[in-house]
Amino acid sequence: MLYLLPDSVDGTRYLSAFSDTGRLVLIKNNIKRNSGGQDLEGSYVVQTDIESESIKSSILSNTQFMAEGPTPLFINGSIHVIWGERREDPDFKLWNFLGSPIAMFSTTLLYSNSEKK
Amino acid sequence: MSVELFHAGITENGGGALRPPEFYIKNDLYGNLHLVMQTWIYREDIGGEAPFITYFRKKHKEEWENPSFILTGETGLSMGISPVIETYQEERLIIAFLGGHPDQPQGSNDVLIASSDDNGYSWNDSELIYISGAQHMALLLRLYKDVENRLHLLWGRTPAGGLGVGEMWHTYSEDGGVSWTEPNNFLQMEDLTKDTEAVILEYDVVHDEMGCIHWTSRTFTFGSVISSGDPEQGSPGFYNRWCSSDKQWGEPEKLGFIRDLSFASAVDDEENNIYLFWVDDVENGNRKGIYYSKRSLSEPEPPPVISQTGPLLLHTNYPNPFNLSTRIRFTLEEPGEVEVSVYDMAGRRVLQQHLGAKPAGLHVHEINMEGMTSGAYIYEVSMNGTWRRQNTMTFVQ
Repeated sequence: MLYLLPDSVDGTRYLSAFSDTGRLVLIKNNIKRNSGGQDLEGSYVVQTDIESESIKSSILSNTQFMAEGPTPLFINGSIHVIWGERREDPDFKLWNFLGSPIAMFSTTLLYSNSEKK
Repeated sequence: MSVELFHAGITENGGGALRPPEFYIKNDLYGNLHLVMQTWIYREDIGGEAPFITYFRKKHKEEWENPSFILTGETGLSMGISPVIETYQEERLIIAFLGGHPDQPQGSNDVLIASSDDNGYSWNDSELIYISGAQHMALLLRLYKDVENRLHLLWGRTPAGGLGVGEMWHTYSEDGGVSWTEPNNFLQMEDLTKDTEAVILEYDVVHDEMGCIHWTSRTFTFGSVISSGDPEQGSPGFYNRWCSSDKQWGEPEKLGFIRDLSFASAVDDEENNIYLFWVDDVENGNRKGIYYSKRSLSEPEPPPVISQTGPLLLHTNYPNPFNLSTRIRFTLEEPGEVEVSVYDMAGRRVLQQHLGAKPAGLHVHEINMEGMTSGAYIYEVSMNGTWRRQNTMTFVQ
C-alpha cells in the first residue's frame, strides 16, 4: 500500500527521515528560483505525525545559496539539523562547482517528548 | 529558531566539499558532536585537488573546533571519499571511508576504517577492511551501531568504473571495531530481477530494539522509463533484514515501484513498522510529492535473556553505557504486577517505579537518570513481589 503525504511541495529533493521514539520527522530540500533565474535549494523541515493531515513546514537555510544534505540528529529531546550551503568559489566563480566552498550550518528545533500526543 | 554557522568546510588551499550526502554526524554519550566530511585539498605532487576526509568536533556547549584531516601521508592513500562516523562507548570513534591507493586503477576503491580512542584528539592509522581489487569498486558505504553495541559496515560493489551496485556486502564487529567478521556478500542483484543490468541507487538501514537491522533499497533497471508515470515502468524497492539471533540475512522481498530518481530512506517506529519514503510525480507529473509505504514486520526474535526466574525473563538494557536514559526489556510468561527499581552500588534505592498490571509478553520500559551522578547502578525488575531479576548499567553524564 502506497501513501502520499498531504501538502507536498514542488521540487522536493534530498529527503531524509528518522524516528525518535514514535514520531516520524522528515527533512527535505526544496528548489526555489531566485530573481536571477537560478534554481537554488533551501533546506526545509517537514515534521509530521504519519497518517495525520497536519504537516508543519518551515525553511531553515538562506535561499541566496544552495543548501545541501540536510541531516537530522536527535539528542535528548531536541532535533539538530545540519546542512551545507554552497558559496561562490573565488577562483572558479561558480557557486555550484563540485568542490566549491561549502559553509556548514546547524540549528536546533524546539522539540521534546512531552510534545507528543 | 536561530540558525548558526558552525564552520566553513574550506581548506586553506581553496578546496571545498563534494556534493551531499558526503557528510555524516553523530553524537556521543557526553553530548559532543562528531562530523566527517569529504573535502578537496590541493596536492602539489599531482598538481590538482584530491578528495580527503576531514573530521570536525563540537564539544558539549562549546564552539566547533578546527578540523583535522584523517588521511595522512602515512596511510599511503591517494584519496578518501564517502566518510561515515560512529561513536562507541566511552571515547572511541570509528570513521569508515573508501580509499584508493596510488597504484590502483582509477575507479576502484577499498573499504577502510580509522579509529580514535581519545574522543577524536588523535587518530590511529587507517586499517583495510575490504579489498575491492582492480576489477571492482566499493561504494555507498554505511556504518551503524545496533542496540547491542555491535558495529555494522555495509557497502555495495560494482565493476570498476561501472554504474551503481551489483552486490551488497556486510561485516560487523562485536568489539568496537577492533576486529571484524569476514565480509559477507548478502545480496546479488541477479537474484532480485531478471534484468542483470539492475543496480542499487540508494539504500538505508535502520535498527530496532530487538537486535535486528533492516535494509531497504531503491533500484534502477536499465531500459526502464524513468518518470514515465507508469508504475510498472518504475524502479523496484527491496527489503531485507539481519538479526542478532541467527546472524544471517533473509531472502530479499520486493516492496513496490518508484518512478523518480530522488532519495529514499527508511525509519522504524515503536510498533515494529518500517517506512520507506521517496519523492515521485503527482498530478501527471506537474508536481512532486512525498510518498511512503508502511510495512509491518513480522514479530522479531526476542533479545538475549540474561537471566530468568520463574515466569520473569530479563533481557539486556540499551543503550549501555548511556547518557540520561536507557531502556530495560523484560518478558512475562504470564500476566503480573511489575515494579522497577534502581540501586546505587552502595545498595541505596534511588528510583522506584510501579508499572502496574502488565500482560504476558515482551515489555520495554525507559529509565531516566536525570539529576543523578555518573557511575554504575543496579536495576531490578520484580513481578508480583515474588520474582526478582537484576542487572547492572552504567550512567555517563
